[in-house]
Amino acid sequence: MHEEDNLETLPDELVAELKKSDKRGSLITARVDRSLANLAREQFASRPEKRRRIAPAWYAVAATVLLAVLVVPLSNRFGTVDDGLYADVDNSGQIDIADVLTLARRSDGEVTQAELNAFAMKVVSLADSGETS
Amino acid sequence: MIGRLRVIVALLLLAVSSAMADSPVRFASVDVYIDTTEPMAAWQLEFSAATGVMQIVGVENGDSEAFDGAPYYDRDAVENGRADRIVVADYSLEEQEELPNGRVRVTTLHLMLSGDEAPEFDTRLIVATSHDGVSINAEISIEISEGSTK
Repeated sequence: MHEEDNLETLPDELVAELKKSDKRGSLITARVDRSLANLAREQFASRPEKRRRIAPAWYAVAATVLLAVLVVPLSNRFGTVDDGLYADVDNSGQIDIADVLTLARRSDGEVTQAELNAFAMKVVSLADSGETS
Repeated sequence: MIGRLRVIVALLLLAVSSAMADSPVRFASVDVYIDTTEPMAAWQLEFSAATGVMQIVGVENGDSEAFDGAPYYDRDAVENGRADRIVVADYSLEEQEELPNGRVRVTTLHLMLSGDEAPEFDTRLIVATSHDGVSINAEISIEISEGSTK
C-alpha cells in the first residue's frame, strides 16, 4: 500500500520518460520467421555435405597406397620376374637364354639367382614363347 | 524305342573301343644333340611334332658337366599334360675351358605318342652362344628311341 502510494506520487517528468521508453517490440511475422529458418537450414546442411564428398576420395587414396605397399612385395616374394629384367639385354633382337647369360655375367651379384631363374623360366614358358622365338 | 537306343549306344561303344585298340599309346625318348665348333655357354631349342599326336612327359639333362642341373623348361605344362611342344634352354657360367665343344647331348625328351599317324618331329635351335654371349654356329640333331607300348 505504501509503495502504491509512492508510485502515484512519482514526478510527472519521470513518468513521461518511462512512457517514452515503453515501446512495442519489433514484430517478426511468420513469413520472416520461415525465411530465417530456411536460411539457417541451408547454411548448416551444406557443411556435412562437403565432408561426405571429400572423405571417400581420401579413403580411396589411402586404400590404394596400402595395397601398393602390401601387394608389390608379395608378388616379388613369389618369384615373378621384374619387367625391367625381362628384356633384350644383349640387343640381339629377341629375348632368349643368351640374355639370361649376359645378365648373369654383367650383374656382379646385383641380380639374385632366384631372379635369374625366374627370367629363364619366363624365356621357356610356353605361354610366353611367342615373344622369344 | 528304348531297345533301339540301347543298340545305338552299344554300337557306338564298340566303335570307340575298336578305335582305341587300333591306336595304342606308346612311349619314346628323343636325345637332342647340339654340335658346335667352339665352346658353348648357352643354348635354347624348341621341339614339336609336325605330324601325329605327341605329349612331352619328361625332360632330362644332358651329358655336359657344365650344364649339370636339369635344363629350364615349362614344368607346369609338362606336369599338367599340356606340353604338345616344348622350349628347353640352359646356360653355364663355367670358365671357357669347362664348356662343351663339338657334338654334345644337351637333353633327352620323354614323349607319349598316340594316334595312327607316325609322328614327324620339328627341332629348331633358337640360339647357341659362346662364353662371351656371342651367337655361335651350331647344328641340332635328334636320335629317337621307341619305348614300350600300352
